[in-house]
Amino acid sequence: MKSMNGKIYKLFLGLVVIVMSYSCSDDFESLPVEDFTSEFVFSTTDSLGIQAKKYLNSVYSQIEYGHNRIDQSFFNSGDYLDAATDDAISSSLDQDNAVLRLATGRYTASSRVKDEMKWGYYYKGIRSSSTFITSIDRVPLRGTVMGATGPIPLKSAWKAEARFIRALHYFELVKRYGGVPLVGDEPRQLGDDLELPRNTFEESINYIVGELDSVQDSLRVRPIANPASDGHVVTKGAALALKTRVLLYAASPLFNGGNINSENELTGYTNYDPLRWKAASDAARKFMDELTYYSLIPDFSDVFITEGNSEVIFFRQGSENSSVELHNGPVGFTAPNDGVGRTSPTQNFVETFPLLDGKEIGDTTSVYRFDPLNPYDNRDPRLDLTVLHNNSLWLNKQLETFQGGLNNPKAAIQKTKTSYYLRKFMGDFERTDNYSNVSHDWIMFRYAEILLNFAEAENEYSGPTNEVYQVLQDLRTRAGIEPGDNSMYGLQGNMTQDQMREAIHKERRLEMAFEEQRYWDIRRWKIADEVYSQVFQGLVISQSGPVLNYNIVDVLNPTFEERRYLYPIPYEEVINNDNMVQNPGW
Amino acid sequence: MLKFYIKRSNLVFLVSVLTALIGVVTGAQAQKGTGVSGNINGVTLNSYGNPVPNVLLVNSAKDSLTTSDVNGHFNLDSNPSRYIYFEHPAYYVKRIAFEGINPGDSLRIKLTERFLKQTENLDVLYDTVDKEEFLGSASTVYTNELTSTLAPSFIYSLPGRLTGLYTEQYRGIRNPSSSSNSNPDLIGSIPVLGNSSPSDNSEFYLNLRGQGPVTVIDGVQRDISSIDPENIESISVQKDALSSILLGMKSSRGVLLVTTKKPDVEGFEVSLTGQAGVQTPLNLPKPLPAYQYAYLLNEALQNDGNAPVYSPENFNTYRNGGDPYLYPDNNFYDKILKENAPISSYNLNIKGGSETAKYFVGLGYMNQEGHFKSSSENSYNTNLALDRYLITTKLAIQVTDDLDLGLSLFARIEDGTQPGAGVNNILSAIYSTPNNAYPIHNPDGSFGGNVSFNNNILSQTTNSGYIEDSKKDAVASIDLDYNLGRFMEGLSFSALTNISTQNRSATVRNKRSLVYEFKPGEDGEESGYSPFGALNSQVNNFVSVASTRYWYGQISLNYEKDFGLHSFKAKVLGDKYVVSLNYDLPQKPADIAGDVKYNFADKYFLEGALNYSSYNRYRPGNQWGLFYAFGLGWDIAKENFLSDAKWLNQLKLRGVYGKTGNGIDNSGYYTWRQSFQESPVTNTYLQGYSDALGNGTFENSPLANPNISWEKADKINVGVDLSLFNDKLKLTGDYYYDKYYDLLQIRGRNIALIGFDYPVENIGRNLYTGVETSITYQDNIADFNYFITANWSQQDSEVLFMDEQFKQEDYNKRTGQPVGTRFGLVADGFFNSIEEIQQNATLEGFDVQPGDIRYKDLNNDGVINQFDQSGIANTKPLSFYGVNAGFNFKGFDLSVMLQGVYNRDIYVSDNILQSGFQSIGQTYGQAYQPIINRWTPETAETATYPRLTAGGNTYNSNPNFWSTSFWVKSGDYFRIRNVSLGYTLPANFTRGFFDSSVRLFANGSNLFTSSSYDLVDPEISNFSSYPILRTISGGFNIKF
Repeated sequence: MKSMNGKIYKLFLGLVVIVMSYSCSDDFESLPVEDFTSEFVFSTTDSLGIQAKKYLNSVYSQIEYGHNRIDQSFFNSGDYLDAATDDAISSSLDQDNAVLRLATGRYTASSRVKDEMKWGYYYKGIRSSSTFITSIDRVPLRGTVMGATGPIPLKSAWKAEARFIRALHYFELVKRYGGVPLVGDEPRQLGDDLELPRNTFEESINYIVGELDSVQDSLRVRPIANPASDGHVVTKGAALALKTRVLLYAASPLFNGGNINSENELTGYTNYDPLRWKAASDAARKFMDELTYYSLIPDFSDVFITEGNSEVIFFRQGSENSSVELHNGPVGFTAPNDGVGRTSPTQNFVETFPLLDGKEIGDTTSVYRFDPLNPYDNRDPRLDLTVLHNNSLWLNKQLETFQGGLNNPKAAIQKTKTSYYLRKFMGDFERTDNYSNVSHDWIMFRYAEILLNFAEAENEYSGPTNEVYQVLQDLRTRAGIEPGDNSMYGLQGNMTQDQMREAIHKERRLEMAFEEQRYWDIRRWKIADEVYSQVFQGLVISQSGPVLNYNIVDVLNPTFEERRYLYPIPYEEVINNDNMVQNPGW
Repeated sequence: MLKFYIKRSNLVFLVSVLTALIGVVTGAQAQKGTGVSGNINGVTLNSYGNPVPNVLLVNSAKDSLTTSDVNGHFNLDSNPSRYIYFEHPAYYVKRIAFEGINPGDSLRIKLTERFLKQTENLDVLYDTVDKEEFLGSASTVYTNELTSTLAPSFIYSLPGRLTGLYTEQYRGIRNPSSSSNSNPDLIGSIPVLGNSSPSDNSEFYLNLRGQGPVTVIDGVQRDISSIDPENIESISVQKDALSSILLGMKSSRGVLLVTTKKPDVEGFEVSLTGQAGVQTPLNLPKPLPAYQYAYLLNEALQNDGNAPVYSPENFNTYRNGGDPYLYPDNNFYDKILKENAPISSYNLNIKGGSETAKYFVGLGYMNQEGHFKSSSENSYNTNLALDRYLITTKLAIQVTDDLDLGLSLFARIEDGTQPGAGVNNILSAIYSTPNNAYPIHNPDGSFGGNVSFNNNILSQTTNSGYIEDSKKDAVASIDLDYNLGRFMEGLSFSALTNISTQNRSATVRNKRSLVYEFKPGEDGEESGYSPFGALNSQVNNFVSVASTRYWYGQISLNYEKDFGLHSFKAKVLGDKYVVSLNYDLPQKPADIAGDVKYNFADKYFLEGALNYSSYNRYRPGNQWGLFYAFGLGWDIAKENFLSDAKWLNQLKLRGVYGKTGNGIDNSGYYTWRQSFQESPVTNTYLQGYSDALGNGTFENSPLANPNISWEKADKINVGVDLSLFNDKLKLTGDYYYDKYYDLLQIRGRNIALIGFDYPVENIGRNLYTGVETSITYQDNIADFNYFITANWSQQDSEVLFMDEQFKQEDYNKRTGQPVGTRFGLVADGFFNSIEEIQQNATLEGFDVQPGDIRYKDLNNDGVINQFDQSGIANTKPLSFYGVNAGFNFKGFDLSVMLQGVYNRDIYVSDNILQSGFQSIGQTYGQAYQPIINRWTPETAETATYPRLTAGGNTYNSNPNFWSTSFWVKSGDYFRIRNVSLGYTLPANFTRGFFDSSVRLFANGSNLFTSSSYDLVDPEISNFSSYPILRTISGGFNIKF
């Protein structure tokens, strides 16, 4: 027995040793290596910047993609922002859908339309850009790329790209909220004081413009050396294009002279200064003069589906797919062509398209007569490239958007509410049987906008000069409008500044429809109160025998109040930050 | 293969057992004794036929006659009285009439174990103690109470039985897990990190004094609940700080202690149980028939100013079923679900051995089927099903006089199936699809559907292939006890090591078929069918769901000695737990702890414990925390001045204070450290015109919190134990005051300018207080033994601090309210006219119509906005109770378990149930019967629901995503949780069959429910989850 106990005693010792050694030696690393840290991403040994480039990709990925952007979910396609203007309404059955709330003002500081009234989202984008900007310095990145005036270090180019994206995020904030806090370069940490005050509107604009000015010469220029891999990068063109847009917005009535709270430096300038229009005009002119690579391409519909065309200045990458077609295309086709018709363009919008010679409907000087029984004949060719209507050719079929027609069935389903469907941005599927994959980049800046920015700013500063006329005529030529006997493309000669303004506004509405311009334009022009005081209309087409009756019906009664020119800053942001000032009226 | 064999053999097995039984009963004969004349001797036996020592024999005059010896033998000189009573604390009192018994007869007295087991000892964490010296708050149930419910997991039998444990069953059946532990990616798969250990429990929410208890099985933390209750000795919840302090960083949460059966008897004991039953869903939601749906949708559309889509002829067609293809009316609950589904369970336990070596063997099989219809066309099972196989073996060996060794092995295999489309997808499709959505079959036999419903539910149920999921467990333990009395008296050393693994995997063999929309031809045209959905041929994917490995080791040095009336116990313990889950670096909690107990004459008790505990996923330097607890007790009944009070058996006052912690499970995966992640899917950007993949690298959200630490608590428990009248009446009362602090919360004053999501920080402070009582009375009237035990618990809580945003009004503030109070608008009836709307404050941004809910303008500023939100829930403390009563009489036994909850709220937060007609696909979804009582101008007085709208007008359901008091419903309910009726065949019937004891029984669960909220079951909060089931079963138990 004694010896047995001895054995057991020894066994114990052995066991204890085993247990101890188990708990001392580690089979694994002590910290998870796969969850790498900043030192790995911005490595001091990564001379090719492979990891840093991936971080830069993430910075890019926060640029917003506008196609059916609002209210998008896994199950539902979303709406275009411009479906919250007089151009269109959403076909969604959802009574709570975001564009409807935007158009009817169903929001407050504490119940905001989250998909559009983003705040933190942009600050996230700003933070990740800043992280890149401050961290890339320690990466020993080699290599150069071609800038406007010769080779520039790749590191400078990347840094400039991130700074552009940051400026873009700031601009997205400023157009929504007015002056916003400028948080600086250093990403803030958990313990930092974040009760930052808002910068004034002027400071915010100056900061964005200053950033764009200082990065423009560190960026690549088009044509890009390796478009297959680098076609998406921020270029000098993008920086200058954003600058024209920023200056144009800053010069616009809402901020320049029409400040909704005239003494409030946060919501706009406190005075009117015509030189702001000049600055906008100059920036556009500089673009047109210096960056001769860009031009209008002949075919309007190709602009949106052909990558690398010379009209596109900067875009948010999309992949090759049929999503725009399926989300907005007409209902009534069978799989795989069964669209869900999310966007219903309004009758108000369709009526804005002039006749084929550029003259308004009802203008007796036109060589064409508007025919109420064939309302889409002899119209601005952009109409057919923007809107699908009854009898449009689509997927080798004549669309039936009359009541009970194939594409407007009488059933409790989502379908057009106006008898129109969206056509713009889609591939040319008029004469094919099936949808196929098409490039669906979101074009953020294209040359036509520069022209329109120039025309608008120049007209405001100098009046309707020949240059202004020329720009409009260029756009109308490309659109396919007939020059007419006087080669004026339907424009009147000797317009006053006000007449010209109206022509430019209208041209901008047609040319830039659904590109997230109209929604902001009616605000910065300070005409939203007029626009939203009209009823949005659609068509009810009833078929009696072979005859179609086109009846205009009301589809939405929007509302507007002055405080809606700027969005409310999130309620929590104001409550949690003693230095945060809410926008007027909210 | 094994599965099929066993299924078929079930029947064979059952039949052969029954045949044997009948043979035994008919062949049984009373055995004549051949004892010494003049004397009556006998033996007291338990139901296994093994002797029971220490049984007291009493005559009718309550005089003690004799006591059975170690072998259960007793000897009576003469016929003492008309009856003799056999009394033992663990067994029912048995009465024997002497009439007919002749001197010399040998009596075999079979005693029946009490339903409510009486024990002197209590299993506590890592130890067993004398109940006398236990100072904390515990509530314990034993095998009998657990086995009267037929269910796949022991949790089903807990509701109402354990004082202080609040349960809520949110699903009627297990949630099969078949999702992968990695995220599929374009170039491979990305590990999912930081998952919590997989748990068996997917049906119950357990709340022990406001916390989720830590399950400890035989001294090892494991979330195993799907085991056979027949194999369980006891389940105990232990709620005070001292009982859980050895859990270190989980000690705040309380313990759910499961002790399985041990090899603790000599001889040979066999227990064989088989039972089978049917399960029926309770209270399914009641959808609108198609004609009502169409009528009400029209009304809703018109309320919104839209044209109606159905004509009166349509209503009639729906109603008379005249056109089942174009105007279908399918109640999918009826079409997809079966009324009944079988469940069965078989268990064999064998115990035995000698003085030096004892064993326990348990075998179990259980089968449960779901309620999905299946198709005879499939050679495979598409219904939800579970087959479980269990094997347990335990050995206890006395190696030498000083050394005891224990070995235990546990293996479990669970095989499940479900329809290829997934149980939960099907249930939510049933829930949201209107009766008239599509015909289930088209005229040509194809599955119906359309663009909005491009998945036919029947096709999903029977024609989508299947998913098999499988869970495999192996658990092995060795423990040893070495008496070091040679070195120092009272000293001993113990060690325990446990390894276990669990693998969960799934084989996905699912497919999808097209659905077709039928369009009848016009004017001689042929009928047309348009395909929708997708045609996916069957896949065959193997998915690794979870692969987990656990190692636990514990060593302790124990000292135990009495010095006269002074009794000391001390223990030093170290343990370490290593959990390796999937891809994660292992979690390694460890403790170094000490515990000292002292008592004087079993009258005054003192205990204190310290635990220095660590967790490796906190920041280095921040990994160790100190937790401690102490307790005091005083049994007044032992005082001399009460020595005359024989009726008073115990009057113990006790109190425990402790500082405890809660970390590990709530602090994420190395969240103190800002990490980055690379992904070819998330935050990526296509490169150039070639659209080449551009991987993204990004910071993991949220921001790192370098200071993250465990939550802490100061817990106080005081209680009293009272035992009267020879332990027949027992009362226990407890009061607790638990203050939790450093709770992990996201700061309220977070500012988005930081550009990142805020992490949880150690911020909050909550107070939980409550009262818990239980009372038990057991007695007998002659042979009629009866018992009643009841418990009642009340749970109150208060937010002491949370980093709350500035709130203008006091009623806006969360601080001071019960924890988790729901805030929202206060509903005040309906608007009945335009004038009323104009005269009252309304919600900004909504077009309010008569029939909409009127909300109270709490701050009287003329608009309804966030300042008008207040707590809308019941603030009275949550209270719950259970009553278990029963008797045993002449072989019959009955136990009835009643259970209820009050001061509980339900919030109906489901637009489908609240208003119906939500937009789904391109059309409108289902609506349920309660909306028939909607507001219309005619029914304004009696309406219980607001006016109808279609397409998700949220004004009445959740305006601006806020809750409203309109949807707060009482969640009070009372259930007959369980009834168990049994009959034990007379002993002389079954003596020939191994001298066995045979009990036939019938059990019923969820037999009756009374609740004020009866749309669906009051415990279900997600209306598309699997319904709660009623189970009725019958079976047998043979012991020998």
